[in-house]
Amino acid sequence: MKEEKFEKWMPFIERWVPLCMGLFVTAGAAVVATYAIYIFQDEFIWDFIIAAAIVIVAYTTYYLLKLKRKKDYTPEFDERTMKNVFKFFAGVSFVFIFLFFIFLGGVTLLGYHTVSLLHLWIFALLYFFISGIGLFIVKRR
Amino acid sequence: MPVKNNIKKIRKERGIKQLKMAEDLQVTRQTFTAIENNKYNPSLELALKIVNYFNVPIDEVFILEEVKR
Repeated sequence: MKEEKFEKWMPFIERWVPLCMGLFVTAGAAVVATYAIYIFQDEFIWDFIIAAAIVIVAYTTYYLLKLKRKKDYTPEFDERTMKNVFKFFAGVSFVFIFLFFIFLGGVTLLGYHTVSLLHLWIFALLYFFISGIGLFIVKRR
Repeated sequence: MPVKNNIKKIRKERGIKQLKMAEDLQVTRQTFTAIENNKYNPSLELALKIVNYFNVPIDEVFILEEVKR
């Protein structure tokens, strides 16, 4: 009986939960970041909230357009796509760790004792950027 | 030993559309095409779902080909 009830709600859950989760996580992250800065630096900045609002509007528009375009009831992910995504993440992580060691080795050989945080941030953001774009491509294969 | 399948043949014999079957089995169209063209071997769970869908013995759908040495 419980399973039947759950199955009745499955199409609704599959359709709207990803959007709700995305919006909730983005809004939550913006609130937590703003609050943390308010607590530690004693100033209220709007940057995170504005950025989150832009992301929420863009993501909602993209998601609704995607829903409108989709005419069939096939899922977004299945066992093969999940496997492809895991393989891709494993590969990208491996390559980035390898490049990081090369970078550290090069820096050490050149005689530097410190590395600017900016370079590490560039490296981390590059990783997120490449894995995000790659995920988008791998998901569709 | 590669696994081959007769999914495409059985599906066409029964006049089932690829999209309909992908929807019923809850897999993407790309995955279903990959399975039919023997590019991807489904998990045991999905293989059993396919067999159940056609209601035929498993060896009529999936064939284990022996490799000559």
